[in-house]
Amino acid sequence: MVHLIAEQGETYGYALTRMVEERTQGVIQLNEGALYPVLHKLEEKGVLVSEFKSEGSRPRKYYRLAPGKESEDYIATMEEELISYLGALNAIFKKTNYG
Amino acid sequence: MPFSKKPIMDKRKLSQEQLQEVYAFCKRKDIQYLELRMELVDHIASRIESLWEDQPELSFKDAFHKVYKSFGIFGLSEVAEEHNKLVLKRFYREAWQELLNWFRVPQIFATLSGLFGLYFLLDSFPKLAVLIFYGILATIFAVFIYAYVERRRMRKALDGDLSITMGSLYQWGWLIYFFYFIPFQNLGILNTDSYSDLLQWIEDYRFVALFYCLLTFILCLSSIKLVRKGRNQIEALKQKQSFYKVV
Repeated sequence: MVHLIAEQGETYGYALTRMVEERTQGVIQLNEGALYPVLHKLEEKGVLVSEFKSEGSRPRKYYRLAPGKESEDYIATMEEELISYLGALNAIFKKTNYG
Repeated sequence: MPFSKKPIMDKRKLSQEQLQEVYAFCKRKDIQYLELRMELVDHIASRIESLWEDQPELSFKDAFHKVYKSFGIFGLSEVAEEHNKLVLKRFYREAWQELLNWFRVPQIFATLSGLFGLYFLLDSFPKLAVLIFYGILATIFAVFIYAYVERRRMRKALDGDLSITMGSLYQWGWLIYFFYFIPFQNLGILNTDSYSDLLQWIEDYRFVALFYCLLTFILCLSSIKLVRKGRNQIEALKQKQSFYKVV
């Protein structure tokens, strides 16, 4: 999710759910109960910053990466952890797949 | 004509009245914080509009019902509950940041000089400790009243709604309870025996007394900063809130 926000520059909650759904071809569907608590926690941690924008229509909350090296380091660490986790899962499936 | 232009169909959008209805619904569902309510209203509205792209004949009522139903049994309450926990933690985060600030260069020189100065003052004039003790109480009381009055004023400006910063100010009262009321609840400070007890206690536990001075300073400063932050956000929030006001 943070990766998508970094890629987009700034985005809002609903657009994120659509992006995740499109990119994973519907395999991962983010619901509100999972999405917003994570976004708010990342905001509290200082990884994301948010801003309400109206531009003539209803107010919409946009998220973007917090300026500074900390948020970039956070993404790098998360990605490393995820890759190593996927590697571990892959190793398990390879061993158990006797096909 | 070389190009035949197809008429572009405008996407069906929620009207102002329909948005107000979603907003009022979220308010009824106890989404107390204005920032979260506005975010969820936009989310629900976006989902309804997306549903209309596939089923343009669907009425607003049916589309809204369909979207809300997809939220599951706990609906919005799950999001609100998680959000409330974060709001309560915010005061601690602000206070912790404030504490860290006073231990960074160059503030650390001021902090250490203040603490050493106070220590030697207490050493040379032990009775000053009582004055400091009452000073702490008076400061806490003054900041408490200031935060309470400002919070009421902000809530009135938002027609009874809460902002995240206002919510986190609630923790101020709890911290006073934990750090000041519980440790001193057996000390009747207006009774003369307790007065000498207090003097003795401060003499015996000078470092604890210094810790309380620092804690008071940090907590008071964090509260004042939060109040100011909350006040600065009010105008922008009022403007956003006015979008959903029924005229």
